[in-house]
Amino acid sequence: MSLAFLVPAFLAGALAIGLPIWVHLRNRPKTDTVEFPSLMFIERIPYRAVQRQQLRHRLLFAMRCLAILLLVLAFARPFFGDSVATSAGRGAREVVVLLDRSWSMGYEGHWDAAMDAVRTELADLGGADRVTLIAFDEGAEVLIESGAAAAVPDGLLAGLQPGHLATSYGAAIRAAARVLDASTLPARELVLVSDFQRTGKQSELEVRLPEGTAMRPVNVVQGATPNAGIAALNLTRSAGEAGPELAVSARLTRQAGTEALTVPARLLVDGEEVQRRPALLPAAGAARVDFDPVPADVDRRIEVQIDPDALAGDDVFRAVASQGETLRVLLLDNPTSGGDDSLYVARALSVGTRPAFEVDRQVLRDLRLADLADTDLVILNDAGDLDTGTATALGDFVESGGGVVLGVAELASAGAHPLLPFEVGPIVDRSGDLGATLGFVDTAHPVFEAYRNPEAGDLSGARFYRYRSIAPEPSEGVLARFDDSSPAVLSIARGEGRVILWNSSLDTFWTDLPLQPIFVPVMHELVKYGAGYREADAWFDATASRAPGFYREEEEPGIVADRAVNLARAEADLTAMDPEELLASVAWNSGAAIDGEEAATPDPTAIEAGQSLWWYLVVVAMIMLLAETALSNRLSSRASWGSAEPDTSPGTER
Amino acid sequence: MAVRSATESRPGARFIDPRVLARIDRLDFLARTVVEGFIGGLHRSPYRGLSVDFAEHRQYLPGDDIRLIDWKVFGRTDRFYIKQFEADSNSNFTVLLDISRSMAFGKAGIPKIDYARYMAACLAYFTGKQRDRIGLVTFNDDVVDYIPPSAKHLDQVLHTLDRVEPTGNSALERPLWKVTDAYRRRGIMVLISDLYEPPEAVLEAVQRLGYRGHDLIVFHVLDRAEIDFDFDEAANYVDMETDAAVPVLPDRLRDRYREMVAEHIATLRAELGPRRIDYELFDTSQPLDHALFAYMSMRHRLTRVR
Repeated sequence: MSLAFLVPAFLAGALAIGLPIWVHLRNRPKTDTVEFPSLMFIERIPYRAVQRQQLRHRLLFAMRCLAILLLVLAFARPFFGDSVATSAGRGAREVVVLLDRSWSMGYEGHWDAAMDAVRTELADLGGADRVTLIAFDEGAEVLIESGAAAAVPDGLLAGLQPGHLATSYGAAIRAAARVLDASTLPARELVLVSDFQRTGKQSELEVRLPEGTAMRPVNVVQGATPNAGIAALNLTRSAGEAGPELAVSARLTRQAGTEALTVPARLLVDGEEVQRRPALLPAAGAARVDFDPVPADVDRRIEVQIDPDALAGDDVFRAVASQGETLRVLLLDNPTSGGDDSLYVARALSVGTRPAFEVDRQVLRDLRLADLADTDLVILNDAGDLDTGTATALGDFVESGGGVVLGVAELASAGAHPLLPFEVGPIVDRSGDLGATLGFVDTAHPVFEAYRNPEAGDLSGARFYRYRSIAPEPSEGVLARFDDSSPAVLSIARGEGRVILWNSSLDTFWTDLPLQPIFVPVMHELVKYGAGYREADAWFDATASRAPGFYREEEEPGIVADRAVNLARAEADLTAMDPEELLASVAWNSGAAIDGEEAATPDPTAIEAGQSLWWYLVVVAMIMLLAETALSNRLSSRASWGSAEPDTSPGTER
Repeated sequence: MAVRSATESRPGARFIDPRVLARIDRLDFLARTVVEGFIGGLHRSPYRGLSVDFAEHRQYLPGDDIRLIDWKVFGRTDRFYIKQFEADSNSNFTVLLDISRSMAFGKAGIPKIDYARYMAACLAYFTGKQRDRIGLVTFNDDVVDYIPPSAKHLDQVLHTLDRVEPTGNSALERPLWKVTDAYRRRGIMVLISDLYEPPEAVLEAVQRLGYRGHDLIVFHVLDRAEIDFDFDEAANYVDMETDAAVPVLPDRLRDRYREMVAEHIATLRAELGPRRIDYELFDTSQPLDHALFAYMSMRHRLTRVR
């Protein structure tokens, strides 16, 4: 506990203590004067002054000195600088320390600086202060909640290490806000120890700290942070002479460098280095490294490495090159079609490799429930009306997660359809005006996503001579419309599966689409989407339960596959944001954010204002002066305070 | 040393009480009031007039002027006797008035300077009625006003007395030295002062006038408070002339102070008498006729000079 002063210059007023000393020594208790013709006789009278002052008025003298000292102290505005003492004034603090432990904090020196900052914060805490220590990355872990500084175990900080997740300030600040909201202590402070990556603030933080919270950023980054890393891999399968091949290319990035740098990039396949390529990295930018194709007849564990630098987490990238899977498609024909109606569909699906399509053709009336057991998708190309049993079977198939691509054309009866929530209307004949075209295509939908780029193909070139009049509910997902706004392609969710309505035929009877180049990819996407297919990821980002590395997991009963897990590459972007910007976005007002220098020492004005010790000093000084007045008057009435008094003893003349 | 007030013992004396006289603006009227009241109040005058009258005979001694031999007595007694006459009353009369700042003090009655002014005016008026030549010297540590003695200077003296203001510090030596130098002709001098100087310094200053043959009367004017020191309040006492200040507790100091003042007065009285210098102490509460009595007593003694 230390005493400090807000205006120490007033302490010079302590010199005024010389005033009562002077008065007592000079023996001039009163300022009243009497004019007298001559002091000729008075000055001849010897005095006995010193002895009288010391013996008879020591109490009065002490009271006067004390009153002056108290007033001087009051004007100097004293306060106790230690937080223990501040509990009676501004009050103890609720300090929440947010420690960034994302993997970017593994940058050389950053973690040590963060630990030092946290230790400093803990050391600055007073006995009445409470501290909450929260380690955060994508989530927030409360290590100590509103405990005394002494309650923080010694080994707690030593056991902390940067994790393998990315930064997200939102979760951390939400956790801090919860603690600060619940606190009953009068002062609240938030200390954010981080490298302040901009990527950590993905969006507006929808959280506000309690009003009056003092926020203090502690940036562990000192100077530039040069870093090189592997941003991504590109795996390309191809058919080689000796079998399937896999071409691997890596995208390397570099930040904050001072000059171009050549680093060796190594390709490891199933743990063995098979190739090494030099990569010329600019001071700031990206470069690509292409490795020679490697055999890929089986699943391969691919790993590309560069030499570790200050941030080693992004110097290795893992991927799994799998063979892919096969979608089983059941193509149901109308008995009257003669088998030619689904020719284009069958041919289109036969060329698929990722995934491969295994197409079974069957007449609708021969459909059995067992046929649907191993089927991922059923295609009904103008198959006619469904009997009750078939409709029920297909309905259950869809409900359980299967997919149906339903082409409605000539043979579909007008009216209700067992697989559709709306009725199928009459035929719209557009042959008179050279057929309809697709006027609207939802390129945001996975089916037509590839056509967002105009170079991918022209969907508007296909002609639709006829289609059925349908009126879906507005909630139904219309993926494409004809030029008269009639729905052309709809995605209808049902249970765990979906029905894709193709409002025309999937052959050349009502449309020339099968003759267009885009028919094959469109069919592939329709089938993949309808079957709920999702291509296996070559790699995954690390999660709380899965650290970077290779894993062998059982995807489905009996099916085991490799998985590659990498650190989230967004975290490798060390671009920093202004800490004030982050804190201002969560503060009630911008003025609440304070910089580290100011926060290192609590605002003395606020502390002093909270304690108001000067007020007590003034009261005591006033009491002292009143007592002095009473005593002085009493002494004065007795004429006993120090003044001229004849002295009969020799040798004491002045 | 307490001086009993004459106004308390003499009926009718209130008309010459200084506090009453202080209400009179004109100094000449004040002086006439006092002097004529004084003369009219004399029941039995001890004075026989101041004309050139025969006083007595004494036996002739060698060296006496033979013109003074009374031949009628020689015829009857066959012895030489000479005649002695009363002294000449038409002498120079000069008031030496101290106007230093200490004379401005007045606690018990009127300020000392006013009392001294009235006193000087009364004496001047009184002597003027006797055809004496009147002069005035005001001084502090030097001569301030100088009016040479003349039978026609009464109005000028009164006018000067009317406008004097206390100023400067008092010191007798220098102004009295100048007076001694300036007054070649013998005369009567009245020194009015509070005499705040050591007795030795006072004697040194005034005895020069005696050496010149002047008849000197010292009127020591003090306020009653300067004698009794009847202050109650403890305070810083400031010297009116030097501005020096001393904290004083009167209760503790009074007895010792009184002793010292009494000793001072006694010393002056004892030392001035043998030097044929009359000394009278006045406090400002005393009637002014007391000064006239003192003066008359001195003149009576002087007229007995043979």
